[in-house]
Amino acid sequence: MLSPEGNFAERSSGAVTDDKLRKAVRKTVDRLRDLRRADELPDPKTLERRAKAQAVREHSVAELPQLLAQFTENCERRGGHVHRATDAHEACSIALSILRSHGAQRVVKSKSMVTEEIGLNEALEHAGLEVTETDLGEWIIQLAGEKPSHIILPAIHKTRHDVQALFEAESGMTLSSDTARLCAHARVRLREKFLQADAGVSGVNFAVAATGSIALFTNEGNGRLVTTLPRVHIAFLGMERIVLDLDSLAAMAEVLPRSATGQKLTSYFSIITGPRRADEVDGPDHLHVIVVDNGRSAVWKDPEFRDVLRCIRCAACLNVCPVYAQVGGHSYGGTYPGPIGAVLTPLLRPEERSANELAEASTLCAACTEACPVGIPLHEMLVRLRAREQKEHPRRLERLALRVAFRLLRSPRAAVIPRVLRLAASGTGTALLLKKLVPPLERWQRARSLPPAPARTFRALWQELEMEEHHAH
Amino acid sequence: MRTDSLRNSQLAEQFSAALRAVGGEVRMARDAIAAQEHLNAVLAESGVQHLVHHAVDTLAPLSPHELGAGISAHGPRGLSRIDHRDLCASADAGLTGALVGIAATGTLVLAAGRDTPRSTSLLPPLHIALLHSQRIVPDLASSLRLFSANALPSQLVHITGPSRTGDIEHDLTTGVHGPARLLVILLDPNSESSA
Repeated sequence: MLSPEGNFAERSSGAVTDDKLRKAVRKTVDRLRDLRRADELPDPKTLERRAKAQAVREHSVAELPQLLAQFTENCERRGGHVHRATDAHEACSIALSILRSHGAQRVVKSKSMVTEEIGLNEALEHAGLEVTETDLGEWIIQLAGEKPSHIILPAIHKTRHDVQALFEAESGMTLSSDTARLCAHARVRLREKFLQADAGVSGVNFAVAATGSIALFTNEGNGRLVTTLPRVHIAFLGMERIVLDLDSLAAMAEVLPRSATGQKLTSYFSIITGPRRADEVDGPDHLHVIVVDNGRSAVWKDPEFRDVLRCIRCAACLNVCPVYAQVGGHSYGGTYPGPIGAVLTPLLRPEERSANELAEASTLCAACTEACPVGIPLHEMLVRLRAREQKEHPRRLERLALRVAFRLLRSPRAAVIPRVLRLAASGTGTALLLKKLVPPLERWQRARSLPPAPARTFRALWQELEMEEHHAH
Repeated sequence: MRTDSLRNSQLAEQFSAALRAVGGEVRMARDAIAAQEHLNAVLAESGVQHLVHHAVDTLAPLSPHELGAGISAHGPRGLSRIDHRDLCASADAGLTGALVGIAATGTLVLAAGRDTPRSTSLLPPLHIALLHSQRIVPDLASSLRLFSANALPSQLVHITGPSRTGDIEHDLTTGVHGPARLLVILLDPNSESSA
């Protein structure tokens, strides 16, 4: 489900010329990245934690069918109901029929990427239900009629003034742009929604096979409210988000908040096992877990890409990605932005060819792979996706051009090329002329500036290095 | 047993430091009298008039019946679902115990049950929790090992500091949905009582 129209280049060309957006995204991802590093780098336990988490997720993916069966059995033993949905449509239909059977009209939601993926809000609203996102960032996005642009911080591209305007339009009140006051306003408005809600919808960070539990990590407390106040709780579980037991869950809790926000643990971490017991005065009477496949089984069967199912949606790869920092989340078109989105979107939606070009939205610098707490080789997968696309839809002209360039550059006479280019780049006039003469260069330069020519050419540097190498031996 | 109690105190110190680092408040109490004094002082300072609390026997040695004059206090027993919810939604503070404390992260572990409903620690803007130092364990893994896979409560919640969000310009703000303040009265026989 690639949302806004057009291709990556079209969607991102607006983003890269929007200075406000670029600054907002850049500032926040840098901060998230630094928070994660500040927490991780001085800690010698980081590698150990990641190795444990990776082992847990490797096991989860390897044993996925068995773990799902075990989870289903245990969850139902504790009074929950587990449903399996093959695709987005089926997942939405199951939710709708549960809600209808309880006569539910008003639904409160806590943050869940998988419900974004299946388009749940649209489906429920289409059926005449009222759906309110209660995560502050998600609510902002819902009021703006947009899609999240970051996995952890969905409203990363909105300023406090944007938020003020949205809240004023929703409430008809005059508000200040002070963050604390905006949050206080949201607390009051959304608390009303919680108290009136007939049903709560949440995602699941991890399901636990051995206990039939679902675990949720949140900071605001809306996840607790959604799973405490309404009579019905529907939890959407991405099929692969399962771990063996509580020990495995503890291992994941050691890396998820650290990788996402640099926290040792989120403010709230709930382990829910079944609906409320008969003697409890709060909690839902009914717990339904909808396990969403939506293309995951096909990925699981593909040995080249199965490992991507280890992903825990921490967004660490977004925060280090130089391309994400420049183009923002909406440019990726799908539910999942950044490097993980560039890998996941084409795999989950193989029928949408336009998703394949996302693999091109990478410098292959491998910062994503380095940041990943569960060891997914994201940059290698991007290369594999490119290779796959080339095999299925070869770009003949590009290949020919590369073959010519390869021949040309290999020849000793090619040394003259940098000299000509240096000469051209030295004067503004000639640089302009060069842009005019070579049209792709003009397009390339719309959002970039041609760097000044370095003091020495690459060839000269290379020769020097070879000499040094030679002397060293 | 002396070494055990020293170890508890070390864990209590680690717990307090970790909780303070995430914006939680800690008041140390050496005995029951000091703990009750802390509770009454916090309620008075914060202008609390309506208090909701977990069942009295889960709060020992604190007594919600010995609060300052003019403070109403309600436990969960005998209340309907709606009445309990509305009391929690309009209360100024919620008072609970804690099953476990986790030293590494300054985390409180609360289990939902008949005497310990979820809303008490969630709906009011101030959450006050009593924690005994002998219930503090080093880390999350050791805490989860205390629970048998077959006997998990309907909800086990781990609370680490006040409710927080960074969703507007990544500007950290507390209390957007859950309590804006989390205050722990830590009962440790070896401690010097402090405010």
